[in-house]
Amino acid sequence: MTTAGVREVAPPAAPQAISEQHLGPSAATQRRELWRFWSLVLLFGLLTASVVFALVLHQALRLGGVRATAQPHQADSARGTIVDRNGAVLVADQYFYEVSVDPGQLNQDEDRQTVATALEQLAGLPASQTIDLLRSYAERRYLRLARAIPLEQGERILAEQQRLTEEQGVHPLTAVTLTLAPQRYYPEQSLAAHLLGIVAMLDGATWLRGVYGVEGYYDSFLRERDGVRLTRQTTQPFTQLPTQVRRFLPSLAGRDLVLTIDRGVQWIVEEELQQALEIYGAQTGSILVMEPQSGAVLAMASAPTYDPGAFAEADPALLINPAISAQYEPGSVFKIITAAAALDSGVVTATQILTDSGSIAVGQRVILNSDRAGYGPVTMAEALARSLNVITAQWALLLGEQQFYQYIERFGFGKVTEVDLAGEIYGLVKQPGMLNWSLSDLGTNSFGQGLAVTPIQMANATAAIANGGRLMRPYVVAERALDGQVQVTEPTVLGTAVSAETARQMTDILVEVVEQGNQAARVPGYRVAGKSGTAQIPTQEGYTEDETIVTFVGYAPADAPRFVVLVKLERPDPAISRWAGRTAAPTFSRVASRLLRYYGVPPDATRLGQQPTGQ
Amino acid sequence: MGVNAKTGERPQAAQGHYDWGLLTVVTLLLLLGLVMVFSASYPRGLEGFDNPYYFVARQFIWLLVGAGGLVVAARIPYLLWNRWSVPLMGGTLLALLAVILIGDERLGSSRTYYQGSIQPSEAAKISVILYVSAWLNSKGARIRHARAGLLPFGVLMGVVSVLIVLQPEITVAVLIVVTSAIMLFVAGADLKQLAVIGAVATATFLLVVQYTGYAAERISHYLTWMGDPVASEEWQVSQGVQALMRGGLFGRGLGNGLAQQTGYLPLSWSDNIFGVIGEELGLLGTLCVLLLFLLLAYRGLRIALRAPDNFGMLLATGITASLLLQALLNMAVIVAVSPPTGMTLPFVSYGGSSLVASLVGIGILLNISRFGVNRTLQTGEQTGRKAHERDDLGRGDRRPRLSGTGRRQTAHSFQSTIERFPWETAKAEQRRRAAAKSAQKRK
Repeated sequence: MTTAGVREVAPPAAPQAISEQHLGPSAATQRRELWRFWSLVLLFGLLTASVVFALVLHQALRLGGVRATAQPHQADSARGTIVDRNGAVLVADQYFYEVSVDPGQLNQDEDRQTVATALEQLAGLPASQTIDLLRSYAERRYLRLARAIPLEQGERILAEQQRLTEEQGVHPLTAVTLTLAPQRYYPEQSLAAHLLGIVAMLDGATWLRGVYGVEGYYDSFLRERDGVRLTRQTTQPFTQLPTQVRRFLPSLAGRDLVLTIDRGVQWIVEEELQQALEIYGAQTGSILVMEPQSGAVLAMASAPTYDPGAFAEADPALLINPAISAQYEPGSVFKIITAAAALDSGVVTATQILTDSGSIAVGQRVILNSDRAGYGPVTMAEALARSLNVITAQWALLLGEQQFYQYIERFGFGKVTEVDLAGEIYGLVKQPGMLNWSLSDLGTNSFGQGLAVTPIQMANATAAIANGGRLMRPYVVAERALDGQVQVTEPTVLGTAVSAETARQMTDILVEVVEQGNQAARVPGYRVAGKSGTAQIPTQEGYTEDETIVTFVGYAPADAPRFVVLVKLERPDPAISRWAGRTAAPTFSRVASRLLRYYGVPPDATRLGQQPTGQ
Repeated sequence: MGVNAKTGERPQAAQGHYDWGLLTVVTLLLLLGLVMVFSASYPRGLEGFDNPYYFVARQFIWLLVGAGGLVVAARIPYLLWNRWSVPLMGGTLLALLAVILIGDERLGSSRTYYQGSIQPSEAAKISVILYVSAWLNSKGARIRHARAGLLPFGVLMGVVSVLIVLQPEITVAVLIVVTSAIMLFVAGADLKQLAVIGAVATATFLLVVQYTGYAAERISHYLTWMGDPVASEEWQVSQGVQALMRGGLFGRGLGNGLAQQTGYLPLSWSDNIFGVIGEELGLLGTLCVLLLFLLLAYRGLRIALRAPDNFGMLLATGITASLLLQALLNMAVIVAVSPPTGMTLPFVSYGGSSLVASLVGIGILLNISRFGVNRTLQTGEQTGRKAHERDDLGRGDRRPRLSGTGRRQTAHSFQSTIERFPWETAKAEQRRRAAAKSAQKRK
């Protein structure tokens, strides 16, 4: 007998009976079963067909493929370290974790609670705030919960995630993503902030960029390839980096900068600048220290400054480096240039006597000395020591407009010095032939009015005189280290401003100026060359009376200059003094004497005594 | 007695061969899965755990565990599952309930994280299939009666679904209900009843979706950007389709995908691994994966049709349907045919409990395949009868061993199989001894 298959109902009876009894229905069941299986095949077939259809649509036809690009959350890449010329770290990356989450994966309040509680315990993020954020941005796919948490807290979250993944597979906490986020760390706080610049997320940008200063100028060098993600193990040496480390370590990015800046010099300069602002009641100020032989910048300080680690809280105007990005009428310090030009061109000699009648007409304009007096016959040194506008205008007239402006250009005014800092400006020099130039400008320009310079232009032009007349390109990066290879910056001669002989004569004259005129600038034991300048500030209504910008630029020791120092103070309190000779000059003296001590330069008597054949 | 009948029966009824075709297909999927999990997870592993092999190493360990599960399941005579289905189902329900209760307690409590728990919903998938097979099998033809079929089925599905929805895993509940409905359908349920079940289930589903904010949102997003998934606000949907598009016909090559990089396709190594396959291996790769699953389904349904009894047939159908449904739903999500579900791609996606559960299912299928009878679609009636004819003739004189009216109905088909596993009952033990004696005699 036959029984049909598998599911006949079997009452407790003999098998034969069962079979007979259920033969019909069972056979029917068999047939229906096949039909049912075919239906199943049809169901799965339809599902498969729709998937295949969509696959072909997307992958073969690629409709809308043009838009098939994703803008991923841009990773912040590692950035090189910046050290001073002795290897002291000025800026380095410090690592944190950014905590982000995909709120879409946490659409249950329970999950949100779980994640928030875990983050509070592991990283101290307030749970209630996390929950609020997750609820408010539930439809987002990326939500940053914390920009930077310490590495050890992040490691705790990661360890917890790892444990949960092992134990439970999927857990709400795995919706949390930790991304290594480097932040610039400044072991010296605000030291050289203007020079270094900042690293910031610009509007609309998805990654950090260097802005201003070295960070801005060398941004693409310092930055590792964008979007290359940091991996965890590579940051291990950096977890303990911060404060104690004072020695140069190659950075994670492997692209580091060694500056010409000397941390010690920078510190002295910043301290003196701060002191000068307090003593003279000045609002702002800058001090530049350069090595005349190479053009290397040894220190560059401006006040008020800011903390680059918290630049967001600072006034945005403070971020701009006044030493390279602010122009001003230099005033009498510019007479150095006019004198050097007159000397170099041969229209006057160092000992030639000119007569100061107290006034001179240049073009449409009558030029007077600052004290409205006339000093009669004077030598070049006397004219500079007394800072006589009338004599300076005479030199300019003797030079003639063509030569005068040629020399101005040779000294690097009206164009960038090409210093490797972001944001340098050109200054403003009107040239003959320009619409707004007139002959009277020749007169006023000769003593530093009617033209605008930047502090670095002025310092660099003076450095040219200290350097035997050769104008150097100022620079702040001495070495670039890239993946273990070091590229040393070679000093660049931009041109010859004046002859070496002129430069030597000018040095003697400027020493005389300090000895006779700017006595406050003297440094006991050393011959110092320099010149002060008090500039009135041009406004809509003409020049201000009380408000001045005072400058002193000089170098020491005069016979073999170790450095050029430019001190610029803006708006010193007139109640104390508005004259450079009483403000900028003593500041220069203090800076120069400290630097000479810092460099261990023996006093002239000792030094020149030991070298009788020397200059 | 018995011995001769048994030895005579084995070569024909139970070839003793596992379905090597099925095993080959699964092995290919597993190997592809390992490769793709590595490719899809190394950036995340490197970033999160210092270790590019983090995920793939764990997947490999789970694969070994799953392979062990497969071997054990393939060796356990599948009819044992019939007996174990009730305690298994009870245990699963308890586990589901426990998770919900513990889940309530752990709100706001930190110790939650430190208490590991397995995902009972993965286990639920398989134990529901086992239970439904046993239950449908016990009902036999009576499932067409509303009181025997529709109502208990509805209650069972309701309880299981509520527990799983509370996990909350709506899509797992849907998968379980649909799989069970397919089994009910194949078992010969009345179409009107199925329609009622379908209507009730759909209504419940819509209510649940309405009640659960995120599901409703996903569905509304899906409807909004159905025609233009790239523009979808659902990050996962848009990224999945973009990964497929980047892949094109032949893909960008293994390891060259963008999808797994942070910021692109989330969960690229688990739920969305099909997107990575699409990007790195192209249409060729995705179609191959689809083909492998179709082959798996073919082998699975073939095993179901060749199963010597109703229980085996239902079990094989359920396992096959569940795996294929999961795979198709997972792919449908990536290709934006379906809203996101959180379903893994069986054998391929990263995930321990899912992999082990799937492999245990394959083990059960393999075991059923051992007892497959040569009953094809064309000759189903004939061959099907033949097998049981032999059973009946061989053991017509034996009393049914299973007690209780419900079980007795299947006694015949059962006995035929139980006979092959003499360790099954005490009586079987006696038979084994008898067989040993006779063997000695022969020697």
